[in-house]
Amino acid sequence: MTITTKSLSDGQYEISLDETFDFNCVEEFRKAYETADQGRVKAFIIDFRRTHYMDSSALGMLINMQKFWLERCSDIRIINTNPQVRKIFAISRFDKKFTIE
Amino acid sequence: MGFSIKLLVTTSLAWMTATIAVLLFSSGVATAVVIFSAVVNLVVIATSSSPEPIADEPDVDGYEALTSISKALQKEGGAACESMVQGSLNIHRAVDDSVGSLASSFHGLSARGQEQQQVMHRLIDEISGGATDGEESGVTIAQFAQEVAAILDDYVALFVDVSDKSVSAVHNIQDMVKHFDGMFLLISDIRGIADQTNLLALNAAIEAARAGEAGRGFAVVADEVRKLSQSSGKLNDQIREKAEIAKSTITRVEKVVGEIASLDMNIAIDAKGHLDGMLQQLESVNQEVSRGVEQMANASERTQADVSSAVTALQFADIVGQEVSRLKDQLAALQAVFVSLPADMTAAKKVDSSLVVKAIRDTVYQIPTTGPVTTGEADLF
Repeated sequence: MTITTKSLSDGQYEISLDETFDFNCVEEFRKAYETADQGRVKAFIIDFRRTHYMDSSALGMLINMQKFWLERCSDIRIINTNPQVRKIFAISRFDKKFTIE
Repeated sequence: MGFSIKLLVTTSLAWMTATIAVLLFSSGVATAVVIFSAVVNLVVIATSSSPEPIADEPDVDGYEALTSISKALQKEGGAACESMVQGSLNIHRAVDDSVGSLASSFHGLSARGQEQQQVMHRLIDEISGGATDGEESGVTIAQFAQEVAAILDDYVALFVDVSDKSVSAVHNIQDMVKHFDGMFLLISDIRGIADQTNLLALNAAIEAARAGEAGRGFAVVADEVRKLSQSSGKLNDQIREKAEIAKSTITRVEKVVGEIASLDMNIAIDAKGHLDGMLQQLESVNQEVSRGVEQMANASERTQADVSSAVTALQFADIVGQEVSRLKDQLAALQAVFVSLPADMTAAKKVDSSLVVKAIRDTVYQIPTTGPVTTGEADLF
């Protein structure tokens, strides 16, 4: 359940998730996106490379993150999603709310 | 004279007997054949007897026999022709009646076929929603599929909403827990203060005792202070107890909210996949139905075509009518020939046989016939 963050030079802020992105990650994920420098950050990148399981709480977490940053930063990109994860995003119409790759 | 004539006479007598027998049974075709053969016989007799020189003694028996045949033919030939005309008229009428029934049956068949087509098309329109008359056409397969997909979308949106609110609730709980932790710090601070106050009061009591009589008032105050610090300590303990209960309750709530938020999305995905599969099956059923309808339409068309050609074939009735007419004319002419045959010896001597032959040939071969009817499209009324 370890979530790592990296602040990139071009103002992008990368959050890398672990193998399962579920309810146990709520606190850590919140800490990860709340501690980004409000002045510098221009875009968020959430890396799903290691993630193979995701439940519905993940959807809630992402929405709350979007709400938190709504005024200051609206660019949130989700990358390296596997087919199962992509299916979940598809049926919950998340492709309309976030950029998903 | 002799042998050939005698042979002809015998055969002619035989034909005559047969003719009369057949006439009694009035079989049209057979009668015609028999009579015609009798006539041919006469022709043969006439042509074979003329070149014979009448040098021998006149064969009175032979002439008598021939005259009897001629008389019989003159008398019966006409009646036979009448009967044949009647027979052919009966055929004509029977054909016309049958054709009439057949035609009306085909008409009915064609009308049923068209009815069937219309019913089919209406059914298909209803099922697949092709009705464009602006009225409510009921639930079509396409509509149903769209509705179900929309409902599933709504359910998933519900999941997402629940998840959103659950995570938000948990964030609030976590904030609350932080405050509680702060509160516990304060509570232990208070505990510290109470303990220190207690110690100070103890010290004050000792100093007061050392001061003796002068410190007695102070000793009382110190005592009261001690009591106060002890009771505030107890109160503090009670506060801490309650705070701990509250915190464990909050932790339980967090756990429950977590369960609400953590729904397995695979259920929804499987459901959607299952639904997509069923919709595909419905679609292929729809296509099967369309194909079936097309096949039925083709069969219907072929039936119509068959009925059409049957009605055309009924035109044979016309041919029958024409042939009957021709037959009637021929028989009328033949009847005239029969009537003109000599009935006795005197008249027989006056007959020119070549004229008789010519008359017969004229009736059979010279009356014109009509050509065959060409097959084509027949309009069913």
